[in-house]
Amino acid sequence: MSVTELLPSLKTLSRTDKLKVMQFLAQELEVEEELSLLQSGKTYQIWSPLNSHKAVQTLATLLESEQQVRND
Amino acid sequence: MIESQQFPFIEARDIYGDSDLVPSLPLTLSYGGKHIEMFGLLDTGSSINVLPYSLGCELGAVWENQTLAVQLAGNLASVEARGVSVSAQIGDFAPVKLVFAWSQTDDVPILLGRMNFFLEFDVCFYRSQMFFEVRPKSKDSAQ
Repeated sequence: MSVTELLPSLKTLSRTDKLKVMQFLAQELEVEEELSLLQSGKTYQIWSPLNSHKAVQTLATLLESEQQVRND
Repeated sequence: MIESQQFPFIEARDIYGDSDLVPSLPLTLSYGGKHIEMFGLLDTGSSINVLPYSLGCELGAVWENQTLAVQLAGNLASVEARGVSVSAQIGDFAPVKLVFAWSQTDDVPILLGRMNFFLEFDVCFYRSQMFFEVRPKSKDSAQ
């Protein structure tokens, strides 16, 4: 549907519905602008080893053993 | 009260040449009498600290001598890693022990993650002003 077709229908709306439409369009524009911060087709590097729980335990043990050696 | 120190966000370029500002912290790592100055990326998303392979070698660590196997997850899941404990000097703060997953790849920067960089330091990011603030943990802080 084109804007020319849409406008007459919008004119018939009540004040409340017109405000709702305005709110909807404002939100849509905001989302589109936010998304434009990300570039289509670009590769974004994420190195973070997330949820490496086992590695955390292993390194915590290493840290503890080092601290024990220093305290002895 | 322990003083904090401010550091600037640093411009970095990705492999496509696009620039970005990143919270890279200058630090000196010491291991077996060797000291190397480098930058570590502050990464609250990373469970652990990660040391790239060539930097571990530069520090004098020998892969075969590090027997503590560390299992990584995420996009480093396929990379073999071993635990190594290193002394780190940051700014004017007292040196601390940082444990790293020394990974067998150079396709990663030094990551300073939750185990144990963020156990040792509190950090506030002020990206809009292009600096971050680092403060050693206080002695009476919750573990």
